[in-house]
Amino acid sequence: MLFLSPLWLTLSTAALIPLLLHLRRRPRGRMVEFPAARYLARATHDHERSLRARNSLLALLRILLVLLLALAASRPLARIGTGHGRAAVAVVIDNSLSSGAVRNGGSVLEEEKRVARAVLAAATPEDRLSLITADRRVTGGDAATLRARLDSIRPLSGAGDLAGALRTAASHASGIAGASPVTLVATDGQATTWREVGALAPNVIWTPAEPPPDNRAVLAAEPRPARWTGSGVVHLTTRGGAAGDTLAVRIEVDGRTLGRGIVMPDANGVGEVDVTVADPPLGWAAARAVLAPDELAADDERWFASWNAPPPRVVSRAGSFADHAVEALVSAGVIAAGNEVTIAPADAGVATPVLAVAPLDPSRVGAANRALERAGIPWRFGAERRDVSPARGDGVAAVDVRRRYALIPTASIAAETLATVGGEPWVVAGDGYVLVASALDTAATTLPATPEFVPWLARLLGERLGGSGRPATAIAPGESSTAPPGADGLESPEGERWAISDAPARPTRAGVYFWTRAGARIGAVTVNGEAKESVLQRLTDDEMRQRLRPGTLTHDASVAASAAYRGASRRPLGSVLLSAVLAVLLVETLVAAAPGAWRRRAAPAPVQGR
Amino acid sequence: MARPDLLDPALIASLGHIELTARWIVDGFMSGLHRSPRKGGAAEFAEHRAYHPGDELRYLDWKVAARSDRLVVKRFEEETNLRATIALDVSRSMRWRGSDARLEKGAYAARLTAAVALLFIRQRDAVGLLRFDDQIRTAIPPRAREGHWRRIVAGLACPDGGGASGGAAALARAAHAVGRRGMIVLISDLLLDVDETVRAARALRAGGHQLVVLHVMDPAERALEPGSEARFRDSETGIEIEASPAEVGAAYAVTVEAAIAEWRAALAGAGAGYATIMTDAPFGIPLRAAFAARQSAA
Repeated sequence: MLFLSPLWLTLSTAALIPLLLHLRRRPRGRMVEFPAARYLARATHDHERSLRARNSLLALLRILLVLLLALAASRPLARIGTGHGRAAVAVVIDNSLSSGAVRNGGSVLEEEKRVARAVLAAATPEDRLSLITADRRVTGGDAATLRARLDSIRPLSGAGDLAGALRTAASHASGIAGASPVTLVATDGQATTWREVGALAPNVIWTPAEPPPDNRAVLAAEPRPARWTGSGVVHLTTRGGAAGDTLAVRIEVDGRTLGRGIVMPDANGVGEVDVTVADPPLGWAAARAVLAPDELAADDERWFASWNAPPPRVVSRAGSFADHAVEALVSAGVIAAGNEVTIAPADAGVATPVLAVAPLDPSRVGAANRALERAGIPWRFGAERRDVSPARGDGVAAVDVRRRYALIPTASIAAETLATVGGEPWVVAGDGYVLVASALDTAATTLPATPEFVPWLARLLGERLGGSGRPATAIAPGESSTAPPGADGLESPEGERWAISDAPARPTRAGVYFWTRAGARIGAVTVNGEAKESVLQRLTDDEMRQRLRPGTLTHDASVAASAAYRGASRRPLGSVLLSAVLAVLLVETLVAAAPGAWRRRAAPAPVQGR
Repeated sequence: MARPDLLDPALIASLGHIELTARWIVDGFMSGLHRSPRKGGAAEFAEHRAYHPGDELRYLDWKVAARSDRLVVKRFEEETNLRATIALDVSRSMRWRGSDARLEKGAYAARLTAAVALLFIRQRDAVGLLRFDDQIRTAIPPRAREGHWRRIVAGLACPDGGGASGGAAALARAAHAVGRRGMIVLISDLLLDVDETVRAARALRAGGHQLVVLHVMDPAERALEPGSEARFRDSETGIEIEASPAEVGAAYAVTVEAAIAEWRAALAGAGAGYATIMTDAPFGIPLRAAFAARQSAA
């Protein structure tokens, strides 16, 4: 027996009330003067057994009444008769990226669809059906509607949210009054997915009987540096293949193959290689690293953004450390000499694009703040901090800061904190500026004297100040990304353009999306499936049972379908129990009110007369 | 106008004192008989007295006049039809009523006694009164004069009583008071010892007396009124019992009916008449029972 509202069973404890009242037997009541008490005593004595039996019967009936009410309130379901009762069936289709893996000529997703069709075929018109995919999209309706929906389901570009889908399914199934809730999950049983999910206890889980295929995948494709100047390198990480194997990989930018490489996996099947990309197109472009196709084609390619631009022309007026670093970068060809980007103390008067640093002399802070205001930089320098604290942030890990100023925002404009000291912003960046809260001098910070200084400066100049834009951000399908300052639109991998307000907040298709400003690309978001999706290893049946605690775990579609409705063969007992309650009430009323056999034992005498 | 003997007893009692209301009741009852209640009114010679002018000549005793040459007239004493004593239970249990809308059993019984006595006196019967609880509280010998009824009414107004019931002794005393064969009317709630009472009834019958028992009951004694669980106490006997009317109501009713049947059968076996009188019943009903008993006795 299944209870839809088991908490109401606690009401059954109220059955103790009539029991206790019965056991209390003779509670002392008020005193009543009654001359015929002798008749009362005789009646009690003469009918003691009958009275006791009647009272016991009444107590039993009242206890039964309470128990039946508690039982009815808990909405029990029980197996009665043949077929199945009205069911609310929610089928979860695991169409995550890994479900596209092909085995024996068909994908796992197709097998899952067969399971779902078998479930739909066994449904009756009274059943409430819903289909939930791994992206938590819910489709409800009759069997025909759901079959049509099944035909249109394709593998997602990522892992999706199977735990959320299962919770959604449970919610839909249990939300239908008068129907037995049934949740069925058809999944490839991928270990990396289900190990993260708690015990959701679906009624039925179907997983493929066949073991997963070997899979080769590009796990990561990282352009180095993020901004190329004429040419660049893509650092690739792959998975699959055995030690000694070689995997051919090619780099495509805007559909043209601009680089090729060979990956040699290690003993764990992981391989890394840097592939040089020669002569990429200027500006932002969609690029991908591609392996030869295998059983799971979706992860044989990995998208990244190609950002190729001329070296920024930079002039430094921020002291000898900055001047020497700029000279080194110009010599390396990373930047060029010129007035496009300025590195200068803020008090010297600045104009974007600029790498503005704090003045070494505290008396210049006022001038520096006025200059920042004139340049439209929404920050000002606050109180001076003279404690020695380590800096935290990308490229400044081994840097100590001795003198700095508190950075105080003057407007609620989006800005990015690149480094902090003592929990306070130390390096912030915005549209056309990077602001450092210390002077680039060893009297203020060890940064100019560290080996990381030149690369740090190169990244800032190349990726944040030279030209428009910033490095591409990488997200998984369904995740959100923050638009860079100044962006007013988004361009999809297929070239579709949206205003920033209309752009999808959580892109689901894999590819490269470009942030645009006035139609020009100023940044990118790369959407790729989670690397864990490429690990096709499955949970064993025992692991699956322990982790998810399903009612039934099967590899057979027909078994899954029949098991799904096994729970639904339980029919609601509410009406039966309520009828029983009414019957017991009637009997209780008759027993309580009827004079019973006593009156029949003695013929009543006439009230008056002789 | 409605006959007072058929009105609600509590209403009648509220209209006047016992003497007045008894007269109304009996008048109403008599008017309902539609015939003279007087029967066998033969006069019995009492004495001679000297003739005075104006005396009816038909009462002259011509035989005496012929023998002694004196004119004397015969005087007669009206012969009574019956000598009766009403034994009224004034024990503690009679001072109870189940509802404020009804008379106490004792009050009902007192009015009934007054009415029965008046009715009998109007039948030229001699009527006496015996009030008793565990002792004889009032003993008024039977007389047939109209003024005697007021004495009975005055006796009914005595406030004493309220002890335990002693029916058997009262019946014996009543028989002694009646003297020759007569009639005894016992008005009681019969919360008495059955065997003793029946033995006394048999003794009365053996002495040639006729006994009629009017069993006065409050309706709440016949059927328990609904209420919560309570401790019921009879302060006359000291019996206490806890009970719930809802639980024992039906069994109680059966027991009471059985007790009534027991009384009826036992008294019938002793040659006594019996009637159950409810205190919400009009006085005409028990009066008719008493009158019927009187008629058969006469």
